[in-house]
Amino acid sequence: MGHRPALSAEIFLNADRIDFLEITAEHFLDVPNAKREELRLLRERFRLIPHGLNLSLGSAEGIDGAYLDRLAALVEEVEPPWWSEHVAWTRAGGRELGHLAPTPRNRESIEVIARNAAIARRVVDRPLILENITATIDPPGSTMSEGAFLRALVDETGCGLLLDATNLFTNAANRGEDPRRQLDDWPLESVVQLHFAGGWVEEGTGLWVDAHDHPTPEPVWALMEEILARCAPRGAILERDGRFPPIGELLSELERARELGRRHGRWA
Amino acid sequence: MKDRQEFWARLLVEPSTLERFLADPAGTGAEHGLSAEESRELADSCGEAFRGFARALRRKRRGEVRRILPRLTRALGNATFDDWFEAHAAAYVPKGIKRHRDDALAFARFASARLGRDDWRADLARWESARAGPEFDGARCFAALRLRHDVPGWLARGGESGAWAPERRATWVFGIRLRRGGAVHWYTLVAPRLGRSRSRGGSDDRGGRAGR
Repeated sequence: MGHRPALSAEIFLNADRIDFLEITAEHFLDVPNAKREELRLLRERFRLIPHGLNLSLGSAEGIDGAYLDRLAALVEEVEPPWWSEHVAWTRAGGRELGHLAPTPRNRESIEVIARNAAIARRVVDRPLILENITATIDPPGSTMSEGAFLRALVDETGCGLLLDATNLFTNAANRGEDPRRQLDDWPLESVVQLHFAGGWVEEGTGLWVDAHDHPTPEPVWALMEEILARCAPRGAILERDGRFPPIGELLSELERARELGRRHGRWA
Repeated sequence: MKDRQEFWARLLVEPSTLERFLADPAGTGAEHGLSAEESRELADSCGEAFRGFARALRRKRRGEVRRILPRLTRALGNATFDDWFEAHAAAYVPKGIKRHRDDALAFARFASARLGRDDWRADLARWESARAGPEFDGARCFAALRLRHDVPGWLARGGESGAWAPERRATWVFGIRLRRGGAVHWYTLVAPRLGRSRSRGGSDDRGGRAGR
């Protein structure tokens, strides 16, 4: 499960039903001692996977060295089997988007991301995996499908893939495509971890929004089953960022994901 | 790619630049080194998507500020909060990993200015943002506020669930964190009551008259 401050107490109370946690790196950088103590307690009880939001691997101007150093210190403290970031950019020319933006799916973007990822990997001594994002904008200049782009990126960087099933579904649905067909050219052999989350359809536009504030919808569960039938990730994280239900509902989603994986011999 | 991303960043975080571009792609694009054809292609293929991205960004920011300033949000009411946040977001774009905190602090200043110093909700905005700020990092800090209304006392007496507004009494609030990473200690000093006091403003206001 993705750790969120609002869920912290319930997470500790239900630790025996949660296999590992993903922590948002920014929640634990430059924080008061109380927050650092919380991190220490989380580490004692769970395997933690740091997930960054602001490295901006897709920025042509390069990544923020000071932020990378702080991220590296957190990763070193937590000792995870891997850490993750996004195939995206979040800043340019002194402006921060506050949100993940896609790069064009082309050779130039691959070179930029590979260059930034290489710098990150020199500083952070743990395997880095890269997450596919929801593309609310389809940037002009794309010459590759999403799957082909991610395959080339994985080949160029040597990084594993964090396959976000909800993002894959959202992009496919909004383009009027079959998400399960999309998987055919994705580098499934490189998938290390999954994300799944809920969303909703925006009134007026009819577009799916991966808002992470609703239960995981059935089409995403169907896609998860397809993914688990085709590849062997080491874990899956449920992302819930708001409109939190009773913890039992979230734990039920975890159990459903666990059962899906077991059905395909993916984890014990 | 660097130049294109810089232009995109402006389109995505500056609503006025985006609307200017969509109204005149060639002219605005030319200011940023785009050819007329590139500008037209960008506007045609991404215009609505840019608006959608900007909406998603503002929605995210709004949610974070609601979470950081829940009392001010409730005191304003959802409709007012949403309207005012849109106005604030059009003029201010936060930066850095503590940007949600900075966004909340800036919105509190914005709301306080709109409410005017005689409205107790302006004091609530200042009090709540002063309390929230230091929770985001461990830096040593000292905060001092002078309020026109006894907001801390009102909250302590369950004012939020009641039907009365904070009493108008000079109130000083001090917060101090001496040790890096340590807790912030808050102290409140309320002026003694002298005769009647009034407060105005807010959906729950009932005059707050002493001795009523």
